[in-house]
Amino acid sequence: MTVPSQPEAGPSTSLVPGPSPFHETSQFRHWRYSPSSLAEIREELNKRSVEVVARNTELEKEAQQSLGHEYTTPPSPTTYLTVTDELLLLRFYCSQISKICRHGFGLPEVVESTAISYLKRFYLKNSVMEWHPKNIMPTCLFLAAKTTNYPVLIDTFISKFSKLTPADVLDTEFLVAQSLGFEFWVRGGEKALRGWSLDMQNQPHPPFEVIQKALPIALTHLSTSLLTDAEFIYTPSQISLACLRLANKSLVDTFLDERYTSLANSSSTRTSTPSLNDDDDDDVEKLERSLPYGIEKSRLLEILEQIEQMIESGGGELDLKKVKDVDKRLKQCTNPEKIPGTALYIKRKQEKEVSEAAAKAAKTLKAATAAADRDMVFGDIIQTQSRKPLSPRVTVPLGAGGGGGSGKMQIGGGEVEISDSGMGIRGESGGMLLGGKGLKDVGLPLSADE
Amino acid sequence: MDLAARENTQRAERWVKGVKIGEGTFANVYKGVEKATKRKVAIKKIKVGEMKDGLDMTALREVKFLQELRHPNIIALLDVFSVKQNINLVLEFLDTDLEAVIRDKALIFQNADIKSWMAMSLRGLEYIHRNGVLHRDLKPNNLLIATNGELKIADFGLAREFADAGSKMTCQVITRWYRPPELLFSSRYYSSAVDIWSMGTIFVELILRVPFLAGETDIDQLKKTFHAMGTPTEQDWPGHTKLPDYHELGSYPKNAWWNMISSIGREGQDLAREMLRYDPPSRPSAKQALQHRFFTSYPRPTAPIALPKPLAELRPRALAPDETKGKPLLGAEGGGSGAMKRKAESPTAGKNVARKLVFA
Repeated sequence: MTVPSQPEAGPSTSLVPGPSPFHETSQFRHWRYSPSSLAEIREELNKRSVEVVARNTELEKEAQQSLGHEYTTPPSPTTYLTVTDELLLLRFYCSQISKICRHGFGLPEVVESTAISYLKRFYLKNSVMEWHPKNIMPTCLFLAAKTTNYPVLIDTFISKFSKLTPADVLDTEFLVAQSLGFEFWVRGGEKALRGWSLDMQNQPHPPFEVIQKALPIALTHLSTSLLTDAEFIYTPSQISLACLRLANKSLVDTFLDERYTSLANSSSTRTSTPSLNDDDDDDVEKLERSLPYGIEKSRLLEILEQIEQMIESGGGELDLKKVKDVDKRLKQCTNPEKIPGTALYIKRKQEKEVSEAAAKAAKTLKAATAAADRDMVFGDIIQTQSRKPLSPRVTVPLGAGGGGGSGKMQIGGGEVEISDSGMGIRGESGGMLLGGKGLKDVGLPLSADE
Repeated sequence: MDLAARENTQRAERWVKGVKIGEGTFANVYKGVEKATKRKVAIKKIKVGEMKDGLDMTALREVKFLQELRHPNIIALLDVFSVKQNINLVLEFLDTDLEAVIRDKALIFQNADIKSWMAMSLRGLEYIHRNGVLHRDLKPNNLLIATNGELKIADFGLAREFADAGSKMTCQVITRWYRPPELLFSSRYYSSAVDIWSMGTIFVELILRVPFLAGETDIDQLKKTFHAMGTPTEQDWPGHTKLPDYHELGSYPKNAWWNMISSIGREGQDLAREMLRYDPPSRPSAKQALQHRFFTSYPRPTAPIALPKPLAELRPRALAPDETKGKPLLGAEGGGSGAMKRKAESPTAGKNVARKLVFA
């Protein structure tokens, strides 16, 4: 099957109606890949995060040592996770979502399948070594529950997990939403499966009982398919038909025989049948329009078999020992920047807070200045060399300073950057944060052009 | 930088944010420009961050559906990006809305104009329903008008996909004046027919130039409906007495209420009556409504560019009483455990505050 190259077009392209509503979905436009491009993306992510982790581990070491802490030597590159390791761990956490949905909350399948898709999509933009799936998985579930209309209150939600705080979920929710490109609608195979079962009841002499029996089995295959890459490569209707075929091969084959013989000549019905083909090529399209589902039968069967193989090989029990082993190794090669409690994490957090506070203070100040109709309140730029100690696993008072990007940053107090506004506030942003809040509290208007 | 963050930055850099032009409870709207083309856009900055339960459901719904729906009669979402913890929606820039047009007494509507607005709304609605989505908040205020007169359906904060058969939905949707009787009786299983009722009431409002059924409370809304159109019988609406919140509300006689919209002509009257049937399955689908004789009979619908439009610059308008009191409740559906919470509650004192999408 030729999978169209990833369309570059963002949401701002003009209206080009596809052959079926599915072709207009964000899932089709942005979340479909060829098997090779999937592999490429993951290799690239893995490679990059190994580099980042290596670099940051060095920085963490320096940070710790500068504080006089003991520091164990960073792991040698052989212990970094491979793509296979990452996928194994990801699959484990996907299966956890199913467990929690079914036994923990009793949430419907749509939440489960959406949450699993979110988790898989997240790791096409991020590496397991940057963000541990044990932290991201609950967030995906929490978000999916909301986007599928089954919201769970945060307090109820966290009570089902051991050692999970509201902040763990809420702090990463935005990150997850952003990684998903704010595209929340995932088309699962369930509705398509229902559609197929209705279609099959709509043939001459429909085998009602056979269909009835096949459906629950097909649903089981459908949940297994969630643990595979099928949704990134095939359409929901293709996947669900393959699941039905796994449940009862002759049921589907007889049905397709019937469709292809009876529909081949009547083009009038084609508008009501879903298109299973994704080729956008115009010439091919004309030919395919006269075909049921817009695709040659042999080609369709080929696709179905590929999916069936994928589901069958993806359905095996996970080797928990292997998962644990990967997890153990992951502990040593997670980006220290992203682990709460490390010196580097605290440092980054402060940098962020400081720069945000500075921006806020600048904004408030500007408004205050305008309101008072006079010039600078705080005088000229003050340049300081802040030198405050960083201590790991301890909350450090604000204003522990340091500016600039990760590249040129200095441990234990960096060079202070002068902000664009020329107010010189970055160097003492801790103080400004308070100042900013105070000004806001007295109700001064914010400037319009933030 | 993370891949997602890098992609976000690339998107954010395409747009320049300008002055604030509207303020709402969960979002502010700014004027904006696309750097490359200098095209005018509206940037809706959704406030997140301080919510106890994380990203707000209304915002999530709006983003979820606008990401999927692209149609000439639906507001176009051009881009989404984030700055710090705020979600920014880049939307096409639209001048005014149908409510402002209806309220502007200086404008005179011809039947062809009304036909044009109805056709555009129904086309957008047909597309929404075809994609398996219920809008659940249709009202003149949410039908925006572009510079070229094109009508665009906006505000998907209450939308949802069709529920699976047998799963419950919330009945606390649709602004009261446009809410169908089945929702007022708390039906938890409903269909795209709820949006058709709303369109029916908007149709009548376009003709009368005042809201057709302006109830002050939910009960009053039912009373006004029955007063206007007669109390439904079991024949008119099979099974309605079994709905969860069914109440006897006195028996009002059947009126030939369509006589008050006789100016629209026989076909128009017929379409309005069809769309405002008590029995939800008897209402036409958006597609059937578009195929109604009304749209093919004389006069032809006015070209969008020639439609009446307010000349005066849009000014903040007083809020309809319904919007200070009767906003739909938002919350959990189908067995979820979320708390009910009010949407866009406006300050009662603020009779003259700007509405959320007021473009200066």
